Amino acid sequence: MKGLRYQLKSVLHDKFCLMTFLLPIVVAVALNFVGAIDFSTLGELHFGVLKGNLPTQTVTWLERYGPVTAYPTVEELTDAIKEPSTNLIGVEADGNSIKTILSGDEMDIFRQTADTLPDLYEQRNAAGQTEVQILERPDVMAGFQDMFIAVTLIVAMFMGCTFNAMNMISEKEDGVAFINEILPMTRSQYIMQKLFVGFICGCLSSIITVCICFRLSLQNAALMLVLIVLSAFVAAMTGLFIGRASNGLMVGVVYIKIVMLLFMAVPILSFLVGISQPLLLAVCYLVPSQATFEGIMDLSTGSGTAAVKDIFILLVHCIGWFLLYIGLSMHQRKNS
Amino acid sequence: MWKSLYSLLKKDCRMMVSGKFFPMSLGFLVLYTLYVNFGYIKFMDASLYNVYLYDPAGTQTTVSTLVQRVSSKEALDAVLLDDTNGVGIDASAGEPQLVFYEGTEKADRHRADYALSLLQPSGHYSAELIGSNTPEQKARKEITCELLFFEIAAVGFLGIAAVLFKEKGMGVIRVHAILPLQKNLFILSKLAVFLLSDLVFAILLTVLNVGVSDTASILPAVLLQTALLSLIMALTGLICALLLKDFRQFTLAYLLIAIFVATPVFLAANTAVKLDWIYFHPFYHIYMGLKNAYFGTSSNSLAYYLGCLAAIVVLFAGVQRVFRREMGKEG
Amino acid sequence: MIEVKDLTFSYGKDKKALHGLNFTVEDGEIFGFLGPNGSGKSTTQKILTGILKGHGGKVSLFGQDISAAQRQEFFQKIGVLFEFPYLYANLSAVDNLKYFSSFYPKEQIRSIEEVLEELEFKPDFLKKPVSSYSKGMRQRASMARALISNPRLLFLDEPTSGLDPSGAVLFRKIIEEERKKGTTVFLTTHNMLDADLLCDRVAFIADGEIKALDTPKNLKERGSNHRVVIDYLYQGMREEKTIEAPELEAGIPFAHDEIISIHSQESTLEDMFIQYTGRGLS
Repeated sequence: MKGLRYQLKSVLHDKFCLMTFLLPIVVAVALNFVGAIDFSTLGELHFGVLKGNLPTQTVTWLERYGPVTAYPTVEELTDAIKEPSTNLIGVEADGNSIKTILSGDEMDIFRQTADTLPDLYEQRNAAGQTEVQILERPDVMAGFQDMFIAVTLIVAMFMGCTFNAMNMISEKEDGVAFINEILPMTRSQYIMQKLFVGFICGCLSSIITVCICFRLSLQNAALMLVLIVLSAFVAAMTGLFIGRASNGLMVGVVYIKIVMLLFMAVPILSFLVGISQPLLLAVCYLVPSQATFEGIMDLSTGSGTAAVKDIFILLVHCIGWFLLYIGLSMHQRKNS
Repeated sequence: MWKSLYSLLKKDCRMMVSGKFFPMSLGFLVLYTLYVNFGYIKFMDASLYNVYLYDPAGTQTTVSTLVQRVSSKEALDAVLLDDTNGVGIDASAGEPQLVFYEGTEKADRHRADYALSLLQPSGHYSAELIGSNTPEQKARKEITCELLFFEIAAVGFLGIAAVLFKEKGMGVIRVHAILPLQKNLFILSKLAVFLLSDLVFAILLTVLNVGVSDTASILPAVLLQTALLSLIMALTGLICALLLKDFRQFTLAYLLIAIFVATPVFLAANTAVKLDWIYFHPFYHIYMGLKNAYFGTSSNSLAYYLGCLAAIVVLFAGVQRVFRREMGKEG
Repeated sequence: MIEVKDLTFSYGKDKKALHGLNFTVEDGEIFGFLGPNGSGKSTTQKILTGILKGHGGKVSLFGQDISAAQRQEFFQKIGVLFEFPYLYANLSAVDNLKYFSSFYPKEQIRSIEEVLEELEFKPDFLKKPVSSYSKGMRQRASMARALISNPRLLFLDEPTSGLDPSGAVLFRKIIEEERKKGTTVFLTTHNMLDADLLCDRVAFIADGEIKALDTPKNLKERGSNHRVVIDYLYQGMREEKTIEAPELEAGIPFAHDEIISIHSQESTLEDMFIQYTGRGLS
């Protein structure tokens, strides 16, 4: 595999591949070192009041739960409540109590908050006397940060398909593909060379990303490495298919985008929707990144044993796609 | 002139057909529609915190039906570990004691007060509703707006550049230089084809995801904003395709635009995250224009429309200049 | 038809491509522009075809200054064959021709089938995409595009490039046919044979200047040494002798049994080009 050195050189000189390699690493750094994505501020309550309408103590009471903005006119308050990008709860005086105003398109959390706010106001004096025990949150990443990091890692692992696909497409465009046909290189040598390019780049990008994002125990680190290796192999296989199917750079880029979209969308959707139906889950597992995603999520919460199932699914993918490629190659050779 | 324009339009449509642009757009339309109707709408909601009560002695008699009772302290601990946003009330000692996992200071206060209020619920109160959209309608409009923006800004932009790169590669641009036709028609026909396909896409996406009745009232405004965005992105795509040497270089520029330009716009426009500099971001205003169109809020000023027109005129002049330069190039 | 006076052109401040060209091309003439790569041939052609602007000096085509000419009217009268066959690869030759001809007045357009037949285009490939064509077929389709609008003035850049000998002969025949129809041809090439066989007059261009301009015959004669080489058989041995041409008037001035061949030692156009410009054609 002496030629592999030059294949890797060719890939690393490709700015597109270089950017693909660095992108997940940059995102991982941004997610980890710039600061955690604080979704708690995004769910914070925000109140809007009419200037001079509520007593100062009421505004102070509201400020216990979230920022209060005073609007000079009813129209401005109404517009702010109706503004779709915020979930402002309008609060107005109602005799000795308060009434709340919403636009009606808010999520349940804000609707229920608005519905119960007058009750809280009535009971405000009694509330301070109860004993409250606040526990420290367990060492799991907050909110959707798990998902963001898992998706970044999936991008790192499965972007391996880009490297060897672009390598193969460039060869076709430059005419090197014709030269390959008259070289004393066997078909299997060619496949191994191309696979290795995508595999090594995908693995490297993923390992660096994992080192940035995770602090794992030795056992879980070993399982993560297995996950990376298997995912990068499947990605490299995908790259082989894309490189083979594309007759030009533009078509290749479109295929890569479709594949990456699928690899990212399926795990994200199943995570957010929460698929429990076995048949639907099995369909999701047809996409290799689903198993990878679940494996990463399991390892990030420390449950390494659950990740073993995902590793097994990935192994099946590796063998399956490899056999499919070999089968297709042999079939094509027979026909030609 | 009309005959020439017709020939150019026919040729550009054929280029797009051979580049599988239309099936790709259709594919994305189906994907987006499935995502909106079977994914986004289902998970885009969040309920208020669950409240769990451990009351072995039955001291709390006037408890709201929203409160979930647990049978033991261990069960309370377990359910709170599983639902870290929930609030636990331990009434085993008689007086209720609140226990929950830390959030933010203000959210914690609200959680505590809310949980306690459920122990003595009063009559059913509902907030006054002053808007015209339900949560589902809002979610549908929001996501449709985002998807349309993404489709035109990212996918359409890529499409027009791909067509022009193909023609560049074939060298046919310089053949058009010696044909008896107004050179601007070459650019105008491409803009027309992409504008039309974007408008059709916008109509279909909106009808399928927002519903026919809601679409009828907002469609003219949506189409106007779509047209502005489509023209700006098409002209940007044309300039990039003419200036950059090959498609490989273009994909780098495209990645940068798609990720680093669109992301702050989405964050600022759809969440409460406020970035101070976002008002200087041109895409933010265009996106907000589209969003306002979807929600029927006509807050677009004359300055906005003048700005869009100015951008289109400047970009068109730039495309013209670069196109003439390209026509004179060697093979 | 074409009148060029003191034509200058620069690509940027320091890169002067043309240093004051002067020439005319008569109606119905085949005028050749012979020069190596980078000599200014393509620049001159681009200026004459209206693609490149910002030139110095005066350029008139069809009796009108090119900068003042009505562009659409101007392009209707010219046909251009570029150095490379620029065609839509995903369309067939017929579709390419239908598309490009759609920009010209209907009455001006020739029959597509007739033009392709004239160019001996393979009928099997008429409906196949250009991407499946050989180099020669693409050149034929490209030439058809230049001829389809019945131009009064034809600009041909390396017309026989990529063609086999029979294809080159065919293209020369077609160019001659065009001249007989009264079409003026402006031919840029660095193929000496095309220039010699086709052109009424040839201009040698190098480093942005015209070094010589005359008929091919006159140019070759200028460098001729008026000698002839005679191959002959004498007493069973094959021999060769070089004599001055005037000596032949009195007959063969040496003993011989059989004359095998007589060749003049006339210079080629390439020889004359090197003499005038100090460099070769390639």
